[in-house]
Amino acid sequence: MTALALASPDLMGYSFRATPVFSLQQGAGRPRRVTPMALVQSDTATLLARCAASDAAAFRQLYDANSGRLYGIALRITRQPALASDAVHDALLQVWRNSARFDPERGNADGWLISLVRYRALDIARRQMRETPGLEIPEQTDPDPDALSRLVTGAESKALRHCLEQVEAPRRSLVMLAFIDGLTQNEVAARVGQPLGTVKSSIRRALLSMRSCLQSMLGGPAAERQS
Amino acid sequence: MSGSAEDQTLIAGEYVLGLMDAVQMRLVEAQATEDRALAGEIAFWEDRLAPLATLVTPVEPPAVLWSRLALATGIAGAMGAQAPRRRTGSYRAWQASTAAALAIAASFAYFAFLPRPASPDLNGEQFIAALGPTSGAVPYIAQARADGSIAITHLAGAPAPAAGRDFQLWALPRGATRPISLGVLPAGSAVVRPPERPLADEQLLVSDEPTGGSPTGLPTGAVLFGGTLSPVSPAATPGR
Repeated sequence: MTALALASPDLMGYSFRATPVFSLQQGAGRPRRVTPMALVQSDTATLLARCAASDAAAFRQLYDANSGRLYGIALRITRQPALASDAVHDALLQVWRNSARFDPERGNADGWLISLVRYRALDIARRQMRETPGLEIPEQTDPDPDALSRLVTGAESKALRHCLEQVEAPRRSLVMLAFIDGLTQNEVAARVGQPLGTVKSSIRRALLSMRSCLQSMLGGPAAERQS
Repeated sequence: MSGSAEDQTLIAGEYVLGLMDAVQMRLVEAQATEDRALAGEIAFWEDRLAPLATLVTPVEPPAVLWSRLALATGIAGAMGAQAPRRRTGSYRAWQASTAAALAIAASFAYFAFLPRPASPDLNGEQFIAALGPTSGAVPYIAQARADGSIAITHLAGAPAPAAGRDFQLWALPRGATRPISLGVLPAGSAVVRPPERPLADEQLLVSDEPTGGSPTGLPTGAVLFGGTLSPVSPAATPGR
């Protein structure tokens, strides 16, 4: 392989994908601000619609409004900054390429965004554990026992808080541990020092209780999804 | 809720909570493409549990994350006219975002990277990346060799650094948050030897620096060229 061959027009035409350049210079603009989810929810759907029309400015706004919380979520699951960056990068790239697939009639824009990042972070975390046997993952702090009190904004948050409060505290903590820290059932069992079977059973009971409660308060799955 | 429906909501709930391993997740995803009721249950849990994510403290991501996204999406050029954001004092100068100055600087150049054939675990694939505008001459070619070095060839029309300035080459492996210096690019052709062999999704960047290179170990000036290494079919490469 030679430089001359690599520079041939045919190769350029076949292989080269133009990508933009960017600056690493410090710029002058507004300070970074993390916006609470409830305040940006309606905006998120609007921005996704604009992203579907290849609106680069909308994608930047989406990033500005959400990157802090999405990175925080990914960092909590992967526990490594580089892996969290990869998770958010991959998920937002997916958003840019597939935002047309988001249907606001069928789901919550913020839920979709969070799910994309969580699943990517979970994949990366699982792969990391598989490829690095014996890797010591730093322990997270235990869930804040008063964390639910912060679920106060919006009907969905209030309903979730209410339904979680209907679940016995030990089971509730398992649900929160799984969702926030992205632990497998085995990892949850190891963390709380309970047999795997007990943990599985406890989480399932919690899920059934929450499913019933959430449906009664907010409705079940959208009809279109089941058709 | 029937037994079957109960099973579905449990599977969906466990999937959304993140309790499954990667294989189980793929199985559920495959099943959901065929089973709209299961897909509906998954969406139900995604929507209903999403507020829990607000309990996680937001963390400012490294600014290079936006740069990676801008490169990967191809929108950095479109964002050139947008004023970059001000960064807090905890951010280094190199950690910034899109800037108009760069769109101007980029308007005359491509920078292509052709790493050597990949390791056997990548089935002999090669990787390639290009940086710059969508049209114009190609003033630089970078080719990775079998020994892990990268040969830089300056073609006609290659820009030269301004007086008192140098171009410096950097590698940003996937997952890294800080670029690694590959040294100052001398005039004419050159060979650089990265500490690690380039792999897919690694980014290569060229920044404008004071003579002798960045005094900080990180880019201090504008990044003029950059690109992400992507696999390319060996059969597409003439002369192999």
